[in-house]
Amino acid sequence: MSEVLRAVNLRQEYVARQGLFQKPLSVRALNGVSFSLNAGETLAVVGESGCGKSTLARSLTLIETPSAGELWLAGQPVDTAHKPDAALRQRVQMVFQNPYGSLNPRKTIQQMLEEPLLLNTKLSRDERRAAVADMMSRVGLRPEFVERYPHMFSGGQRQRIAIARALMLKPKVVVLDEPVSALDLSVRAQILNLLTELQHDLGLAYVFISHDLSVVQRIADYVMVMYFGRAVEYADAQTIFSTPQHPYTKALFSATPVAEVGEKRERIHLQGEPPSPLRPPQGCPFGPRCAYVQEACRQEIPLLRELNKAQVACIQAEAINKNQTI
Amino acid sequence: MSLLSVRNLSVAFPTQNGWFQAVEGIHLAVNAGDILAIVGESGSGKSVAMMAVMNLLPPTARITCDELKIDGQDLLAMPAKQRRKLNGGTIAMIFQEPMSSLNPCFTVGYQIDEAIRIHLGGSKKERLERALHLLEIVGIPDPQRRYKAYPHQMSGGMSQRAMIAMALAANPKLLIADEPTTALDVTVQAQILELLLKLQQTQGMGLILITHDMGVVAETAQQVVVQYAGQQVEKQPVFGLFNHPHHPYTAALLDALPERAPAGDFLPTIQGIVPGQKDRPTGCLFSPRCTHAQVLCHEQQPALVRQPEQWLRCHYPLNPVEVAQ
Repeated sequence: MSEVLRAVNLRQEYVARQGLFQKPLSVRALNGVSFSLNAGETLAVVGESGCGKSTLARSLTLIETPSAGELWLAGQPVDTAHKPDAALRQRVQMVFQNPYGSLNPRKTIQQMLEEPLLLNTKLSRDERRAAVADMMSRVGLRPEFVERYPHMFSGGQRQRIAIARALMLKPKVVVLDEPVSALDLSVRAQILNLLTELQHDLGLAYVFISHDLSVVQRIADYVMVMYFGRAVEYADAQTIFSTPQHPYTKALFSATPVAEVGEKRERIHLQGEPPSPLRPPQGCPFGPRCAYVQEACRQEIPLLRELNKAQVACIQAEAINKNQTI
Repeated sequence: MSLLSVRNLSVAFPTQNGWFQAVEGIHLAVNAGDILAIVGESGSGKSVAMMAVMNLLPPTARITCDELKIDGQDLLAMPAKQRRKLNGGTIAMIFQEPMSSLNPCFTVGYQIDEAIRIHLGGSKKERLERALHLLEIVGIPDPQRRYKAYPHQMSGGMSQRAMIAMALAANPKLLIADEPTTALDVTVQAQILELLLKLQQTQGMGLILITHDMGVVAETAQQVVVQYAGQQVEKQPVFGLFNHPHHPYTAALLDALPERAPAGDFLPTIQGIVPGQKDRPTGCLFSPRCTHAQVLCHEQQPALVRQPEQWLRCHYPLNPVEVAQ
């Protein structure tokens, strides 16, 4: 398997102005995230709103260049100090959450799918048309529909169009930002199947951003749980779903409702809400909501470390796991 | 006598191409202390039906109903003005987007106070006490401070709690929650659902939960109605519905859930999409997408058969129902 995407200590900072005469604050939306991804594999990034998962998506797709850290795409380093060149950008494409907002209502499907080819390739008109027709059938839409406008399609069909558009330049990596959460249940399964099929056929690597754990469990090879701009746990899907180790991961998993009646699971009650990035808490960012918090947790921010085949950012993970097995 | 009883409610909207039947002949009976979930995809008419009960639909909507009673009062015979007074008093509703259902120009406290003032009255001091008490019940820390906060100063979860406080202001007998947690994160969702259940139990309210999230249904509801394209297709107690669904649509919906699907690369799907205004089939509305459909299904629409424990609209039910003689 070849590595197609590697992030090392990726950071993204934004400047928040507080007022005319106050010093602007810097907000760390992404605070040192590292991972590597091979062709044909899926990394799922889960977490609550504000945890930095969409910022990660924007950094990976170079919509915003990260403020620090290294990014490698298909074996080449991305120069984060300068505007990255078009050839690299083609390697990573993105599918957005809401297919009602991400498609230009004034363009036909043909125009939308053709646009990346027009801008980036020297294909002739006929070749472009053939490529569009081919992509339409690949994502399960009738090629005759290309002259239609987005409003003539249902939500699921629009998401197929958005996926088709992302694939026009034959990317290696597709970043999917909540691709199915705006869709109805019966359509959701169709789109997930399409994504699986495309991954098999084209060897795509997916960065799948989602808050829906049942979907993640289904399609992910690796899972990264994010909290407050950091990864708090990172492991392969089987490990993390069978033995979550970070208290936040456990709480997140137990809070997700399961469509099974009868078995009442032990639910971990999380009090409060994620901290404000303008006023970061001392030490472990999860500390204020954590049931196991100790004085040591408030001293410094825990880093990811190897623990039972996973990487966990919790200084007490062993103690907590030990207590729970007794 | 049930708290809410609805018989044969239909709602149609005028469009350029004639009437669009958004809700078609639905029935409901909710008792005090019941939790009824209404599940369906978008366009299944679940919200519209509840808006019709609340009389919140635009005047162009054509609403027909054989019976609409709440707490023994006949809403159909009631003038609109009097009906308006029941809203927020006897029946209260919580909407999906807490951020957009609170008025951004007024403090949260003012908006809760408004509900108390209109429905309960009382002196300023009494009302303030009640508002603070409500904020405390719904688990908002530091109610004194939050009372003076504007909606934009609160997070989504806090806003939804404030909405719930407002809905509870006049001790409603029936609470309708329309996708109360869809816009929230899972950990906050768990908090809000828990709160709703706790309040429902302590206050003995009837609760109608409109949702599309099967997980939420499984963990909260007692009775479940499944709606498809404006019709009720199945009603069962929650255990039966999840373990022995009778309608092929319910079964297909459950199978399409990633956590319930059999292992393997591909999920079972429901082919096609919900019928729109123009392509409504003559037979069963689900027949074009149903894998069990037979000739009869395409020709004749099945009637909703209502037995005490379960309702069903299907010619050929799955997991056969033992017919009570």
